[in-house]
Amino acid sequence: MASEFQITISQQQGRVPVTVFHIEGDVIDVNSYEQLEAQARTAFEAGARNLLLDMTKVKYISSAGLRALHAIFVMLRADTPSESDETMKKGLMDGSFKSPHLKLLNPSPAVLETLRVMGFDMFLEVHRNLKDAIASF
Amino acid sequence: MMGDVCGKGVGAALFMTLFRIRIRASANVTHFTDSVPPPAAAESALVDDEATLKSTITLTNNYVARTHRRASMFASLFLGLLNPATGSLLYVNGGHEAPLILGPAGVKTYLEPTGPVVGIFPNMEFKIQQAQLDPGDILLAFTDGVTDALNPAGEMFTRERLAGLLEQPFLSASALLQQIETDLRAHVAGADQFDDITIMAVGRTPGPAG
Repeated sequence: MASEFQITISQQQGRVPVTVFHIEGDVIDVNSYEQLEAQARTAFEAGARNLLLDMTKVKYISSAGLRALHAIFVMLRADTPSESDETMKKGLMDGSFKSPHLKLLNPSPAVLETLRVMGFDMFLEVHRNLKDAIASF
Repeated sequence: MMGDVCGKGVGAALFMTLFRIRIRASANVTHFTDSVPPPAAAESALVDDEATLKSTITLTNNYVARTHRRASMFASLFLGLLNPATGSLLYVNGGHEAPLILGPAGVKTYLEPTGPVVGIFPNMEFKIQQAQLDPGDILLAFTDGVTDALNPAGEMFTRERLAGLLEQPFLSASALLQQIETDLRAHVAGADQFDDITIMAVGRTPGPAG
């Protein structure tokens, strides 16, 4: 059965400050996506601009969970030329654009497959260890 | 056509309605016009069908992504145009679980996504692909409510179990649907249903190719 959804938050310093959400629940679905989105919004309002989602323990993400990822991606998108609509559109098409502000750590094969089917791998970068992930921001 | 809007509840249901209206309106504009087209070669009909699919998914995607961008709502969408005379299937798959074509010896091909889910970003590219439904073949489409259905122990039905089920031959589309439903019910065994389940099968009558 699904374990309780909780997020432990840590702050890391790479070239820029990175907020890490360690997701403790094993499911991001219709029962938990609002919490994820709300906590990301709270962090954003407190000044967080770069967010790494540690998905190590997440076994399953539903479309509602992906909706939260999309909403967080939109929230973190900065008003800069490198992230203009035109640059992003071109980059999404040729594979050169990934969100510089929202990245994933250690998604499971099942979560990766969901991301692939729904096209979310197009704009979300995936990392396999924390150090490299922090350094990539 | 098969689609699945993200999320649950009234909000998701309203978006499903919106998607349906946009898709049908866009498809009708280009496909079901009042004027009778001049007799055209099969090739040019194919080009028309391709244009219909392309404009339908593009218009729907751009409308949702632009008008409702703050809602972060999207849908997976499989749109196919089947020519019943030739078995030619033109399709576009926006982030939907891959439908498949089942032949006498099992799965012949998976109709993998040709673009992302519909509505996340405007101006996305959705590729149109072609597949063939031979006499006796069955096209099977389903939502992730099938593969993700949980049993009382919290275990999913899984893509693998569905694929295993498809290794046996099926005499008809309805026999296939029945078998999937039976297996799914046995797996779920009365556990609470958390996602909607949709399955569609289209069979081409066995016999000489038309």
